Amino acid sequence: MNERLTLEARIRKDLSKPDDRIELLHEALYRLTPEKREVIVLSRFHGFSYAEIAEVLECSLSAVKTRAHRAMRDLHVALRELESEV
Amino acid sequence: MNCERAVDLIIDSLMDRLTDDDEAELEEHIRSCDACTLRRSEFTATWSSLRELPQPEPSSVAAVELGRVLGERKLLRRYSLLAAAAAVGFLLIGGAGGYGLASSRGGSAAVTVEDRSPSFLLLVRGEPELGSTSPEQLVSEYFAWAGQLASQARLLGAEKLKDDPGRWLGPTGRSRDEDLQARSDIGGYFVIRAANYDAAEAIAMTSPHIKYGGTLEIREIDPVTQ
Repeated sequence: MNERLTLEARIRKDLSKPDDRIELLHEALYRLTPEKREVIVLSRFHGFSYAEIAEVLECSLSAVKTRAHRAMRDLHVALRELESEV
Repeated sequence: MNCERAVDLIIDSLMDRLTDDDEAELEEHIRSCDACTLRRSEFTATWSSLRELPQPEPSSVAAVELGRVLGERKLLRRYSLLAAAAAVGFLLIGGAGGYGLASSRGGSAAVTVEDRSPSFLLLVRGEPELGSTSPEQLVSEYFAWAGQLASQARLLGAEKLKDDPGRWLGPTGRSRDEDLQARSDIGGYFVIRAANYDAAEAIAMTSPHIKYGGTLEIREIDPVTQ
């Protein structure tokens, strides 16, 4: 029960951090390799599906998926690192 | 389902979409896994925060390729004819605008043009004569052209204007002179960087608008400094 409460507290804390988080996120995005950043940019900023990204980058759907999975994981690792540096 | 797979699905749900089966499986896993409940909230928060960043540039290679695909394929429906050229301008300038930031953070954008080079306004005048060329083909050529300029950091701006007569104003207010309004043949503009008029002209001459019989007026921009 206590664990559950801690979990919810952590989630709330995570969602409520304002501007610094945006700054750090920006920094984190630029720590990714260009290939990984690309997938995130095309998806988030241009609203492309995996299939559309595959078309743009001329690679297979499974390659896009793999790259997307790694990109988002790396983004999180970078974000954690930056947060711990602050 | 293990946590690795669950994270993959969490990412897929944000970046693409899940099949009903995958979604059901993910929900079932998350109900029983606190770590993944937290991970999902983190990924979701990050994903929504990304929206608040200035729009980063795709790599120049992808930008050109993106233009080609947008022009040629079904994605065309998201953009109308010339607006597409402006859209690609915007998309790529998103890069130019974020430049300082991107390069100071080790971005990969290759700046090949001096920032101090003069800039030129290219007024897109007259209707291109398409003949047997399809509008899609024209759009595709615009994208390729704008994409190439952008990849050389030469493209500073691009917009299409609405196909209406606009308004002509003078000291007495709005002009009712229809002849005057009929003279308006500006369909859009590009702002580019070039070393001088000759260089700007050379670039302008390669544009699809010229190729298809339109007219471009080039004016050097005289920066006003305070």
